[in-house]
Amino acid sequence: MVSLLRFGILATLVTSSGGVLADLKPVADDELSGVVAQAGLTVDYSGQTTLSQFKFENAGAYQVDGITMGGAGVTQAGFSEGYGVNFDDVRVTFDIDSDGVLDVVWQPGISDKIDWGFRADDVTLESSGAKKTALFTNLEAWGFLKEIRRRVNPPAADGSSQGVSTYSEFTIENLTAGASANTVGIEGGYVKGMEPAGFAVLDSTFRPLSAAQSGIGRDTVTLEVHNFAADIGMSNLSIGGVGLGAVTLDNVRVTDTAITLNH
Amino acid sequence: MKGLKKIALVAAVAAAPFAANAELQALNDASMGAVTGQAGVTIDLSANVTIGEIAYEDQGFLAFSDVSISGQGGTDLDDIRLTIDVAGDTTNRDLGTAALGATYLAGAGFDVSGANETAQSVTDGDLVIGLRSQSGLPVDFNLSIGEIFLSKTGSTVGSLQSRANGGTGGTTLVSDLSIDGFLGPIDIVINEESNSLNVNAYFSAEGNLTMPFMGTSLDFELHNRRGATVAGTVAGTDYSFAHAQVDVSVVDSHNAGTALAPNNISALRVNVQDFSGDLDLTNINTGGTESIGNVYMTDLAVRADMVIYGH
Repeated sequence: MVSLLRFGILATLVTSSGGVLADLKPVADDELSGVVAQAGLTVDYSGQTTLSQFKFENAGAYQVDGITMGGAGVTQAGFSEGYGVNFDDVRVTFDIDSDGVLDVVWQPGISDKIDWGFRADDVTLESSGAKKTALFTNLEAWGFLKEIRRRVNPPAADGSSQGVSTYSEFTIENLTAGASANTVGIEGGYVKGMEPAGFAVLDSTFRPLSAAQSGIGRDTVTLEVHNFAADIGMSNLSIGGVGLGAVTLDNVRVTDTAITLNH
Repeated sequence: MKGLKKIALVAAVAAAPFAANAELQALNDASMGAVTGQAGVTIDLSANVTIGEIAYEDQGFLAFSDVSISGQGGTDLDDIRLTIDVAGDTTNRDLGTAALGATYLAGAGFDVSGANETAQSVTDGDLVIGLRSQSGLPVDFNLSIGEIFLSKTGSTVGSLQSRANGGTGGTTLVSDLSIDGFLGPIDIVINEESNSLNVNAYFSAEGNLTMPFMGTSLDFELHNRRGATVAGTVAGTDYSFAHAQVDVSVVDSHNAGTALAPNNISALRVNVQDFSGDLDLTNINTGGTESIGNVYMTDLAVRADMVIYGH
Protein backbone atom coordinates (compact mmCIF):
# COMPACT_ATOMS: atom_id res chain seq x y z
CA MET A 1 0.00 0.00 0.00
CA VAL A 2 2.89 2.27 0.76
CA SER A 3 4.08 2.17 -2.86
CA LEU A 4 0.73 3.15 -4.28
CA LEU A 5 0.28 5.90 -1.77
CA ARG A 6 3.70 7.23 -2.71
CA PHE A 7 2.70 7.14 -6.37
CA GLY A 8 -0.48 8.98 -5.56
CA ILE A 9 1.42 11.60 -3.62
CA LEU A 10 3.93 11.93 -6.46
CA ALA A 11 1.16 12.39 -9.01
CA THR A 12 -0.42 15.01 -6.82
CA LEU A 13 2.85 16.87 -6.47
CA VAL A 14 3.57 16.73 -10.18
CA THR A 15 0.18 18.08 -11.12
CA SER A 16 0.01 20.80 -8.50
CA SER A 17 1.48 23.83 -10.22
CA GLY A 18 2.97 26.27 -7.81
CA GLY A 19 2.23 24.04 -4.85
CA VAL A 20 2.81 25.01 -1.29
CA LEU A 21 6.55 25.03 -0.61
CA ALA A 22 6.57 26.63 2.82
CA ASP A 23 8.27 25.12 5.82
CA LEU A 24 10.97 23.30 3.86
CA LYS A 25 13.91 22.54 6.12
CA PRO A 26 17.43 21.50 5.17
CA VAL A 27 18.39 17.90 5.90
CA ALA A 28 21.25 17.55 8.32
CA ASP A 29 24.41 15.71 7.28
CA ASP A 30 23.86 12.89 9.72
CA GLU A 31 20.38 12.34 8.31
CA LEU A 32 21.72 12.29 4.74
CA SER A 33 24.30 9.66 5.57
CA GLY A 34 21.54 7.18 6.28
CA VAL A 35 20.10 7.61 2.79
CA VAL A 36 23.09 6.51 0.71
CA ALA A 37 22.90 3.20 -1.19
CA GLN A 38 19.34 2.41 -0.23
CA ALA A 39 17.86 2.58 -3.72
CA GLY A 40 17.45 -0.21 -6.22
CA LEU A 41 14.66 -2.40 -7.47
CA THR A 42 13.75 -6.00 -6.72
CA VAL A 43 11.26 -8.05 -8.75
CA ASP A 44 10.07 -11.44 -7.55
CA TYR A 45 8.92 -13.22 -10.71
CA SER A 46 6.83 -16.22 -11.69
CA GLY A 47 5.60 -16.88 -15.20
CA GLN A 48 5.42 -18.84 -18.43
CA THR A 49 5.80 -17.93 -22.11
CA THR A 50 4.37 -19.71 -25.12
CA LEU A 51 5.07 -19.12 -28.77
CA SER A 52 3.40 -20.98 -31.61
CA GLN A 53 6.27 -20.22 -33.98
CA PHE A 54 9.74 -18.65 -33.90
CA LYS A 55 11.24 -18.04 -37.33
CA PHE A 56 14.66 -16.60 -38.14
CA GLU A 57 14.74 -15.71 -41.79
CA ASN A 58 17.78 -14.88 -43.85
CA ALA A 59 17.92 -16.32 -47.36
CA GLY A 60 16.45 -19.52 -45.96
CA ALA A 61 14.85 -19.90 -42.55
CA TYR A 62 15.32 -21.63 -39.20
CA GLN A 63 11.97 -22.39 -37.65
CA VAL A 64 10.83 -23.66 -34.24
CA ASP A 65 7.17 -24.52 -33.73
CA GLY A 66 5.14 -25.09 -30.58
CA ILE A 67 7.40 -23.50 -27.98
CA THR A 68 6.70 -23.45 -24.25
CA MET A 69 9.15 -21.93 -21.76
CA GLY A 70 8.62 -22.06 -18.02
CA GLY A 71 9.45 -24.35 -15.13
CA ALA A 72 10.85 -27.87 -15.53
CA GLY A 73 7.27 -29.17 -15.45
CA VAL A 74 6.67 -28.07 -19.05
CA THR A 75 8.68 -31.17 -20.03
CA GLN A 76 7.47 -34.72 -19.44
CA ALA A 77 10.66 -35.65 -17.60
CA GLY A 78 10.56 -32.57 -15.39
CA PHE A 79 6.87 -32.99 -14.66
CA SER A 80 7.41 -36.58 -13.60
CA GLU A 81 10.09 -35.31 -11.19
CA GLY A 82 7.40 -33.17 -9.56
CA TYR A 83 8.31 -29.73 -10.88
CA GLY A 84 5.74 -27.07 -11.79
CA VAL A 85 5.11 -25.45 -15.15
CA ASN A 86 6.05 -21.90 -14.13
CA PHE A 87 9.53 -20.38 -14.08
CA ASP A 88 9.23 -19.20 -10.50
CA ASP A 89 11.01 -18.47 -7.24
CA VAL A 90 13.00 -15.99 -9.33
CA ARG A 91 14.36 -12.82 -7.74
CA VAL A 92 15.69 -10.18 -10.13
CA THR A 93 17.52 -7.12 -8.77
CA PHE A 94 18.38 -3.96 -10.68
CA ASP A 95 21.07 -1.59 -9.41
CA ILE A 96 22.94 1.36 -10.87
CA ASP A 97 26.14 2.03 -8.96
CA SER A 98 27.92 5.33 -8.48
CA ASP A 99 29.92 4.86 -11.71
CA GLY A 100 26.77 4.42 -13.77
CA VAL A 101 27.21 0.65 -14.07
CA LEU A 102 23.93 -1.27 -14.41
CA ASP A 103 23.81 -4.70 -12.73
CA VAL A 104 20.90 -7.08 -13.29
CA VAL A 105 21.09 -10.25 -11.19
CA TRP A 106 18.82 -13.31 -11.41
CA GLN A 107 18.92 -15.55 -8.36
CA PRO A 108 16.59 -17.96 -6.59
CA GLY A 109 14.33 -16.56 -3.89
CA ILE A 110 13.66 -19.26 -1.31
CA SER A 111 15.41 -22.32 -2.75
CA ASP A 112 19.06 -22.67 -3.74
CA LYS A 113 18.35 -23.05 -7.48
CA ILE A 114 15.63 -22.29 -10.03
CA ASP A 115 14.20 -25.06 -12.17
CA TRP A 116 13.58 -24.20 -15.83
CA GLY A 117 12.07 -26.02 -18.77
CA PHE A 118 11.76 -25.69 -22.52
CA ARG A 119 9.89 -27.71 -25.08
CA ALA A 120 9.26 -27.40 -28.82
CA ASP A 121 7.22 -29.54 -31.15
CA ASP A 122 9.47 -29.26 -34.22
CA VAL A 123 12.70 -27.63 -35.33
CA THR A 124 13.18 -27.31 -39.10
CA LEU A 125 15.38 -25.66 -41.69
CA GLU A 126 13.77 -24.22 -44.80
CA SER A 127 15.52 -23.32 -48.02
CA SER A 128 14.75 -20.25 -50.07
CA GLY A 129 12.95 -22.68 -52.39
CA ALA A 130 10.68 -23.74 -49.51
CA LYS A 131 12.27 -27.20 -49.14
CA LYS A 132 12.23 -28.24 -45.51
CA THR A 133 14.58 -30.39 -43.45
CA ALA A 134 13.44 -31.57 -40.04
CA LEU A 135 16.16 -31.36 -37.38
CA PHE A 136 14.38 -32.25 -34.16
CA THR A 137 10.94 -33.28 -33.08
CA ASN A 138 9.53 -33.18 -29.54
CA LEU A 139 12.60 -31.37 -28.26
CA GLU A 140 12.55 -31.05 -24.48
CA ALA A 141 15.10 -29.78 -21.97
CA TRP A 142 15.02 -28.95 -18.29
CA GLY A 143 17.60 -28.00 -15.74
CA PHE A 144 18.56 -25.63 -12.97
CA LEU A 145 19.72 -22.04 -12.85
CA LYS A 146 21.82 -20.90 -9.92
CA GLU A 147 22.41 -17.34 -11.05
CA ILE A 148 22.82 -14.97 -13.97
CA ARG A 149 24.76 -11.74 -13.45
CA ARG A 150 24.57 -9.23 -16.28
CA ARG A 151 26.58 -6.02 -16.16
CA VAL A 152 26.33 -3.14 -18.61
CA ASN A 153 29.93 -1.96 -18.48
CA PRO A 154 30.89 1.72 -18.33
CA PRO A 155 32.31 3.20 -21.54
CA ALA A 156 36.04 3.18 -22.14
CA ALA A 157 38.06 6.37 -21.70
CA ASP A 158 37.59 7.16 -25.39
CA GLY A 159 33.81 6.83 -25.02
CA SER A 160 33.49 3.51 -26.86
CA SER A 161 31.12 0.89 -25.48
CA GLN A 162 32.51 -2.03 -23.50
CA GLY A 163 29.32 -4.00 -23.95
CA VAL A 164 27.58 -6.39 -21.62
CA SER A 165 29.24 -9.01 -19.44
CA THR A 166 27.31 -12.10 -18.38
CA TYR A 167 28.23 -14.66 -15.76
CA SER A 168 25.92 -17.64 -15.36
CA GLU A 169 25.83 -20.94 -13.49
CA PHE A 170 23.35 -23.48 -14.80
CA THR A 171 22.69 -27.10 -15.69
CA ILE A 172 20.78 -29.00 -18.34
CA GLU A 173 19.64 -32.06 -16.41
CA ASN A 174 17.83 -33.83 -19.22
CA LEU A 175 17.73 -33.07 -22.95
CA THR A 176 15.67 -35.28 -25.23
CA ALA A 177 14.55 -35.21 -28.85
CA GLY A 178 12.36 -37.81 -30.47
CA ALA A 179 14.08 -40.31 -32.78
CA SER A 180 12.50 -40.66 -36.20
CA ALA A 181 13.52 -41.50 -39.75
CA ASN A 182 14.02 -37.82 -40.54
CA THR A 183 15.43 -36.23 -37.40
CA VAL A 184 18.27 -36.22 -34.90
CA GLY A 185 17.29 -38.09 -31.74
CA ILE A 186 18.76 -37.39 -28.31
CA GLU A 187 18.33 -39.33 -25.08
CA GLY A 188 19.66 -38.36 -21.68
CA GLY A 189 21.51 -35.23 -22.77
CA TYR A 190 23.13 -33.14 -20.05
CA VAL A 191 25.36 -30.13 -19.40
CA LYS A 192 26.55 -29.98 -15.81
CA GLY A 193 29.36 -28.75 -13.63
CA MET A 194 32.54 -30.69 -13.23
CA GLU A 195 31.85 -31.50 -9.62
CA PRO A 196 29.01 -33.79 -8.60
CA ALA A 197 25.79 -31.78 -8.53
CA GLY A 198 27.80 -28.77 -9.70
CA PHE A 199 26.84 -26.12 -12.20
CA ALA A 200 28.26 -25.41 -15.61
CA VAL A 201 29.83 -21.95 -15.81
CA LEU A 202 29.72 -19.44 -18.67
CA ASP A 203 31.53 -16.11 -18.31
CA SER A 204 31.38 -13.92 -21.43
CA THR A 205 31.23 -10.38 -22.81
CA PHE A 206 29.32 -9.23 -25.86
CA ARG A 207 30.45 -5.87 -27.20
CA PRO A 208 30.58 -3.79 -30.33
CA LEU A 209 33.88 -3.17 -32.10
CA SER A 210 34.69 -0.13 -34.16
CA ALA A 211 36.36 -0.46 -37.56
CA ALA A 212 39.68 0.44 -35.95
CA GLN A 213 39.26 -2.22 -33.27
CA SER A 214 37.83 -5.05 -35.34
CA GLY A 215 40.71 -5.74 -37.71
CA ILE A 216 38.28 -6.27 -40.59
CA GLY A 217 37.94 -2.64 -41.56
CA ARG A 218 34.37 -2.10 -40.43
CA ASP A 219 32.18 -1.99 -37.38
CA THR A 220 31.09 -5.35 -36.01
CA VAL A 221 30.33 -7.20 -32.77
CA THR A 222 32.25 -9.82 -30.83
CA LEU A 223 31.48 -12.44 -28.20
CA GLU A 224 34.39 -12.97 -25.85
CA VAL A 225 34.21 -16.24 -23.91
CA HIS A 226 36.34 -15.74 -20.84
CA ASN A 227 35.49 -19.09 -19.33
CA PHE A 228 33.15 -21.97 -20.11
CA ALA A 229 33.48 -25.09 -18.02
CA ALA A 230 31.19 -28.13 -18.05
CA ASP A 231 30.73 -31.83 -18.48
CA ILE A 232 28.62 -32.55 -21.57
CA GLY A 233 27.09 -35.79 -22.74
CA MET A 234 24.13 -37.87 -23.79
CA SER A 235 23.21 -41.50 -23.27
CA ASN A 236 22.25 -42.03 -26.90
CA LEU A 237 22.46 -40.07 -30.13
CA SER A 238 20.57 -41.22 -33.22
CA ILE A 239 20.34 -39.92 -36.75
CA GLY A 240 17.49 -40.98 -38.99
CA GLY A 241 16.35 -43.36 -36.29
CA VAL A 242 19.68 -45.22 -36.21
CA GLY A 243 21.37 -45.15 -32.81
CA LEU A 244 25.03 -44.07 -32.73
CA GLY A 245 25.61 -44.69 -29.02
CA ALA A 246 26.56 -42.55 -26.06
CA VAL A 247 28.58 -39.33 -26.20
CA THR A 248 30.64 -38.10 -23.24
CA LEU A 249 32.76 -34.95 -23.07
CA ASP A 250 34.36 -34.53 -19.63
CA ASN A 251 36.03 -31.39 -18.33
CA VAL A 252 35.25 -29.22 -21.33
CA ARG A 253 36.91 -25.83 -20.96
CA VAL A 254 36.87 -22.88 -23.32
CA THR A 255 38.86 -19.79 -22.32
CA ASP A 256 40.14 -16.58 -23.89
CA THR A 257 38.13 -17.12 -27.05
CA ALA A 258 36.65 -14.34 -29.20
CA ILE A 259 34.01 -14.92 -31.84
CA THR A 260 33.75 -11.92 -34.15
CA LEU A 261 30.95 -11.49 -36.65
CA ASN A 262 32.33 -10.94 -40.15
CA HIS A 263 29.73 -10.60 -42.84
CA MET B 1 -8.02 1.89 -2.36
CA LYS B 2 -8.02 5.58 -1.66
CA GLY B 3 -4.54 5.85 -3.12
CA LEU B 4 -5.57 4.26 -6.40
CA LYS B 5 -8.62 6.44 -6.77
CA LYS B 6 -6.57 9.54 -6.10
CA ILE B 7 -4.11 8.58 -8.82
CA ALA B 8 -6.86 8.11 -11.35
CA LEU B 9 -8.76 11.23 -10.43
CA VAL B 10 -5.65 13.39 -10.33
CA ALA B 11 -4.57 12.06 -13.71
CA ALA B 12 -7.97 12.66 -15.19
CA VAL B 13 -8.19 16.19 -13.89
CA ALA B 14 -4.65 16.97 -14.94
CA ALA B 15 -5.28 15.65 -18.41
CA ALA B 16 -8.42 17.64 -18.95
CA PRO B 17 -7.94 20.73 -21.07
CA PHE B 18 -9.76 23.78 -19.90
CA ALA B 19 -13.09 22.63 -21.19
CA ALA B 20 -15.54 25.03 -22.74
CA ASN B 21 -17.67 26.59 -20.07
CA ALA B 22 -19.79 28.79 -22.28
CA GLU B 23 -23.56 28.90 -22.27
CA LEU B 24 -24.05 27.29 -18.90
CA GLN B 25 -27.71 27.42 -17.99
CA ALA B 26 -29.44 26.67 -14.72
CA LEU B 27 -31.42 23.45 -14.59
CA ASN B 28 -34.94 23.60 -13.29
CA ASP B 29 -36.27 20.99 -10.91
CA ALA B 30 -37.94 18.98 -13.64
CA SER B 31 -34.79 18.60 -15.68
CA MET B 32 -32.76 17.91 -12.54
CA GLY B 33 -35.05 15.02 -11.76
CA ALA B 34 -34.20 13.34 -15.04
CA VAL B 35 -30.46 13.52 -14.40
CA THR B 36 -30.32 11.21 -11.41
CA GLY B 37 -28.00 8.25 -11.91
CA GLN B 38 -26.67 9.53 -15.23
CA ALA B 39 -23.55 11.25 -13.92
CA GLY B 40 -20.05 10.71 -15.21
CA VAL B 41 -17.32 12.68 -16.91
CA THR B 42 -16.38 12.64 -20.58
CA ILE B 43 -13.14 14.32 -21.69
CA ASP B 44 -12.30 14.84 -25.34
CA LEU B 45 -8.54 15.22 -25.41
CA SER B 46 -5.92 16.57 -27.79
CA ALA B 47 -2.35 16.87 -26.58
CA ASN B 48 1.29 17.06 -27.55
CA VAL B 49 3.75 16.24 -24.78
CA THR B 50 7.50 16.76 -24.73
CA ILE B 51 9.86 16.07 -21.82
CA GLY B 52 13.48 17.10 -22.01
CA GLU B 53 14.74 14.62 -19.45
CA ILE B 54 13.45 11.91 -17.13
CA ALA B 55 16.03 10.73 -14.60
CA TYR B 56 15.73 7.76 -12.25
CA GLU B 57 18.31 7.95 -9.48
CA ASP B 58 19.67 4.88 -7.74
CA GLN B 59 23.28 5.64 -6.84
CA GLY B 60 23.95 6.56 -10.44
CA PHE B 61 21.24 7.57 -12.89
CA LEU B 62 19.12 6.00 -15.61
CA ALA B 63 18.08 8.86 -17.87
CA PHE B 64 15.61 9.28 -20.73
CA SER B 65 16.20 12.33 -22.92
CA ASP B 66 14.07 14.10 -25.51
CA VAL B 67 10.85 12.21 -24.81
CA SER B 68 7.81 13.14 -26.85
CA ILE B 69 4.28 11.78 -27.07
CA SER B 70 2.18 12.89 -30.01
CA GLY B 71 0.17 11.65 -32.93
CA GLN B 72 1.87 10.01 -35.89
CA GLY B 73 3.77 12.28 -38.30
CA GLY B 74 4.25 15.06 -35.76
CA THR B 75 0.53 15.72 -35.37
CA ASP B 76 -1.19 16.15 -32.04
CA LEU B 77 -2.26 13.15 -30.04
CA ASP B 78 -5.94 13.72 -30.61
CA ASP B 79 -9.28 12.05 -31.27
CA ILE B 80 -9.18 10.69 -27.70
CA ARG B 81 -12.31 10.37 -25.61
CA LEU B 82 -11.95 9.52 -21.93
CA THR B 83 -14.96 8.51 -19.89
CA ILE B 84 -14.83 8.38 -16.11
CA ASP B 85 -17.60 6.79 -14.08
CA VAL B 86 -18.19 5.47 -10.60
CA ALA B 87 -20.35 2.44 -11.25
CA GLY B 88 -23.63 1.99 -9.44
CA ASP B 89 -25.32 -1.30 -8.74
CA THR B 90 -26.63 -3.35 -11.63
CA THR B 91 -30.00 -1.55 -11.59
CA ASN B 92 -28.41 1.89 -11.75
CA ARG B 93 -25.34 1.47 -13.96
CA ASP B 94 -24.70 4.10 -16.58
CA LEU B 95 -21.14 3.86 -17.86
CA GLY B 96 -19.80 6.20 -20.50
CA THR B 97 -18.63 3.19 -22.48
CA ALA B 98 -21.35 0.87 -23.68
CA ALA B 99 -19.05 -2.15 -23.57
CA LEU B 100 -15.54 -3.00 -22.39
CA GLY B 101 -12.54 -4.57 -24.12
CA ALA B 102 -13.17 -7.33 -26.62
CA THR B 103 -16.94 -6.84 -26.44
CA TYR B 104 -16.50 -3.25 -27.59
CA LEU B 105 -14.11 -4.33 -30.38
CA ALA B 106 -16.49 -7.04 -31.57
CA GLY B 107 -19.29 -4.50 -31.70
CA ALA B 108 -17.07 -2.30 -33.86
CA GLY B 109 -16.62 -5.12 -36.38
CA PHE B 110 -13.26 -6.47 -35.25
CA ASP B 111 -12.42 -10.17 -35.19
CA VAL B 112 -11.66 -10.98 -31.56
CA SER B 113 -12.08 -14.73 -31.76
CA GLY B 114 -8.55 -15.29 -30.45
CA ALA B 115 -8.52 -12.63 -27.78
CA ASN B 116 -7.32 -14.03 -24.47
CA GLU B 117 -9.13 -11.60 -22.23
CA THR B 118 -10.33 -11.99 -18.65
CA ALA B 119 -13.69 -10.23 -18.40
CA GLN B 120 -13.33 -7.18 -16.19
CA SER B 121 -15.70 -7.34 -13.24
CA VAL B 122 -17.46 -4.04 -12.50
CA THR B 123 -19.25 -3.84 -9.16
CA ASP B 124 -21.01 -1.11 -7.23
CA GLY B 125 -18.62 1.70 -6.34
CA ASP B 126 -15.84 0.77 -8.80
CA LEU B 127 -14.15 3.56 -10.74
CA VAL B 128 -14.26 2.82 -14.48
CA ILE B 129 -12.06 4.76 -16.91
CA GLY B 130 -12.42 4.09 -20.62
CA LEU B 131 -10.26 5.36 -23.48
CA ARG B 132 -11.92 5.42 -26.88
CA SER B 133 -11.65 7.57 -29.97
CA GLN B 134 -14.13 10.26 -30.86
CA SER B 135 -14.22 9.16 -34.49
CA GLY B 136 -14.64 5.43 -33.88
CA LEU B 137 -11.29 4.71 -35.53
CA PRO B 138 -8.23 3.61 -33.56
CA VAL B 139 -6.20 6.48 -32.07
CA ASP B 140 -2.83 6.99 -33.75
CA PHE B 141 0.16 7.83 -31.53
CA ASN B 142 3.91 8.30 -31.60
CA LEU B 143 6.35 7.84 -28.73
CA SER B 144 9.90 9.01 -29.32
CA ILE B 145 12.91 8.87 -27.01
CA GLY B 146 16.21 10.41 -28.03
CA GLU B 147 18.39 8.35 -25.71
CA ILE B 148 18.19 6.05 -22.71
CA PHE B 149 21.53 6.09 -20.93
CA LEU B 150 23.35 5.54 -17.65
CA SER B 151 25.18 8.24 -15.76
CA LYS B 152 27.41 8.50 -12.71
CA THR B 153 26.45 9.75 -9.28
CA GLY B 154 26.94 13.48 -8.88
CA SER B 155 25.67 14.22 -12.37
CA THR B 156 23.48 17.28 -12.65
CA VAL B 157 19.79 16.48 -12.95
CA GLY B 158 18.34 18.40 -15.87
CA SER B 159 21.67 18.45 -17.70
CA LEU B 160 22.41 14.75 -18.04
CA GLN B 161 23.99 13.85 -21.37
CA SER B 162 25.39 10.57 -22.57
CA ARG B 163 29.05 10.22 -23.54
CA ALA B 164 27.95 9.47 -27.09
CA ASN B 165 26.08 12.78 -27.15
CA GLY B 166 29.05 14.82 -26.01
CA GLY B 167 28.29 14.73 -22.29
CA THR B 168 29.99 13.17 -19.31
CA GLY B 169 27.38 10.45 -18.83
CA GLY B 170 27.92 6.76 -19.27
CA THR B 171 26.75 3.99 -21.54
CA THR B 172 23.93 4.61 -24.01
CA LEU B 173 21.48 1.71 -23.85
CA VAL B 174 19.01 2.87 -26.51
CA SER B 175 19.05 5.70 -29.00
CA ASP B 176 16.65 6.98 -31.65
CA LEU B 177 13.67 5.01 -30.36
CA SER B 178 10.56 5.88 -32.34
CA ILE B 179 7.27 4.02 -31.99
CA ASP B 180 4.21 4.62 -34.16
CA GLY B 181 1.09 2.79 -33.22
CA PHE B 182 -2.64 2.66 -32.72
CA LEU B 183 -4.67 2.46 -29.54
CA GLY B 184 -7.79 0.33 -29.44
CA PRO B 185 -10.02 0.33 -26.40
CA ILE B 186 -8.25 0.72 -23.06
CA ASP B 187 -10.31 0.12 -19.93
CA ILE B 188 -9.22 0.63 -16.34
CA VAL B 189 -11.34 -0.67 -13.48
CA ILE B 190 -10.35 0.33 -9.96
CA ASN B 191 -12.00 -1.94 -7.47
CA GLU B 192 -13.85 -0.25 -4.64
CA GLU B 193 -13.38 -3.09 -2.17
CA SER B 194 -9.75 -4.07 -2.64
CA ASN B 195 -6.41 -2.45 -3.29
CA SER B 196 -6.39 -3.34 -6.97
CA LEU B 197 -6.86 -1.99 -10.45
CA ASN B 198 -7.20 -3.88 -13.71
CA VAL B 199 -5.94 -2.50 -17.02
CA ASN B 200 -7.17 -4.09 -20.25
CA ALA B 201 -5.59 -2.64 -23.39
CA TYR B 202 -5.56 -3.29 -27.13
CA PHE B 203 -2.82 -1.59 -29.12
CA SER B 204 -0.28 -1.95 -31.92
CA ALA B 205 3.25 -0.58 -32.24
CA GLU B 206 5.96 -0.41 -34.85
CA GLY B 207 9.22 1.45 -35.07
CA ASN B 208 12.95 1.20 -34.78
CA LEU B 209 15.66 1.47 -32.19
CA THR B 210 19.41 1.35 -31.84
CA MET B 211 21.24 -0.25 -28.91
CA PRO B 212 24.76 1.22 -29.09
CA PHE B 213 26.06 -0.81 -26.14
CA MET B 214 25.23 -3.98 -28.09
CA GLY B 215 26.20 -2.60 -31.50
CA THR B 216 22.73 -3.59 -32.67
CA SER B 217 19.83 -1.86 -34.38
CA LEU B 218 16.52 -3.22 -35.60
CA ASP B 219 13.00 -2.46 -36.73
CA PHE B 220 10.07 -3.98 -34.85
CA GLU B 221 6.33 -4.42 -35.14
CA LEU B 222 3.93 -5.74 -32.52
CA HIS B 223 0.58 -6.78 -33.99
CA ASN B 224 -1.77 -9.77 -34.08
CA ARG B 225 -2.33 -10.68 -37.71
CA ARG B 226 -0.75 -14.15 -37.84
CA GLY B 227 -1.21 -17.55 -36.33
CA ALA B 228 -3.98 -19.42 -34.63
CA THR B 229 -4.89 -16.57 -32.31
CA VAL B 230 -5.89 -13.48 -34.25
CA ALA B 231 -7.30 -10.60 -32.25
CA GLY B 232 -8.28 -7.07 -33.05
CA THR B 233 -8.24 -7.33 -36.80
CA VAL B 234 -10.89 -6.02 -39.11
CA ALA B 235 -11.36 -6.89 -42.76
CA GLY B 236 -10.26 -4.29 -45.27
CA THR B 237 -7.90 -2.47 -42.92
CA ASP B 238 -4.38 -2.86 -41.54
CA TYR B 239 -5.58 -2.54 -37.96
CA SER B 240 -4.44 -5.35 -35.72
CA PHE B 241 -4.06 -5.18 -31.96
CA ALA B 242 -1.82 -6.92 -29.50
CA HIS B 243 -3.41 -7.38 -26.09
CA ALA B 244 -2.19 -6.64 -22.59
CA GLN B 245 -4.15 -7.14 -19.40
CA VAL B 246 -2.55 -6.38 -16.07
CA ASP B 247 -3.88 -6.56 -12.54
CA VAL B 248 -2.08 -4.21 -10.15
CA SER B 249 -2.53 -4.60 -6.41
CA VAL B 250 -0.79 -4.22 -3.10
CA VAL B 251 0.82 -7.03 -1.16
CA ASP B 252 0.77 -6.07 2.50
CA SER B 253 2.96 -8.86 3.86
CA HIS B 254 5.30 -10.00 1.12
CA ASN B 255 7.69 -12.74 2.22
CA ALA B 256 5.93 -12.98 5.57
CA GLY B 257 6.85 -16.20 7.32
CA THR B 258 9.92 -16.80 5.19
CA ALA B 259 13.60 -16.37 5.78
CA LEU B 260 13.81 -14.03 2.81
CA ALA B 261 15.00 -10.52 3.40
CA PRO B 262 13.36 -8.09 3.30
CA ASN B 263 10.29 -9.89 4.61
CA ASN B 264 6.79 -8.95 5.67
CA ILE B 265 6.90 -5.77 3.60
CA SER B 266 4.35 -3.84 1.58
CA ALA B 267 5.02 -4.27 -2.12
CA LEU B 268 3.44 -3.70 -5.51
CA ARG B 269 2.09 -6.79 -7.24
CA VAL B 270 1.80 -6.73 -11.03
CA ASN B 271 0.01 -9.76 -12.39
CA VAL B 272 0.34 -9.90 -16.18
CA GLN B 273 -2.81 -11.90 -16.94
CA ASP B 274 -2.06 -11.80 -20.65
CA PHE B 275 0.40 -10.19 -23.01
CA SER B 276 -0.14 -11.58 -26.45
CA GLY B 277 0.54 -10.73 -30.05
CA ASP B 278 2.89 -11.33 -32.95
CA LEU B 279 6.32 -9.70 -32.77
CA ASP B 280 8.48 -9.05 -35.82
CA LEU B 281 12.13 -7.99 -35.46
CA THR B 282 13.37 -7.04 -38.90
CA ASN B 283 16.49 -5.54 -40.46
CA ILE B 284 18.51 -6.73 -37.47
CA ASN B 285 21.90 -5.16 -37.83
CA THR B 286 24.72 -6.23 -35.52
CA GLY B 287 27.79 -4.10 -35.96
CA GLY B 288 28.06 -3.85 -39.70
CA THR B 289 25.85 -2.31 -42.29
CA GLU B 290 24.25 -5.52 -43.56
CA SER B 291 21.22 -7.08 -41.92
CA ILE B 292 21.78 -10.53 -40.42
CA GLY B 293 18.13 -11.36 -41.07
CA ASN B 294 14.66 -11.10 -39.59
CA VAL B 295 12.93 -12.79 -36.64
CA TYR B 296 9.20 -13.48 -36.61
CA MET B 297 7.46 -14.59 -33.42
CA THR B 298 3.89 -15.77 -33.88
CA ASP B 299 1.30 -16.06 -31.10
CA LEU B 300 3.65 -14.87 -28.40
CA ALA B 301 1.84 -15.19 -25.07
CA VAL B 302 3.27 -14.24 -21.71
CA ARG B 303 1.79 -14.75 -18.26
CA ALA B 304 3.79 -13.41 -15.35
CA ASP B 305 3.23 -12.59 -11.72
CA MET B 306 5.66 -10.03 -10.30
CA VAL B 307 6.08 -8.47 -6.87
CA ILE B 308 8.08 -5.25 -7.06
CA TYR B 309 9.74 -3.40 -4.19
CA GLY B 310 12.81 -1.39 -3.31
CA HIS B 311 15.89 -2.72 -1.61
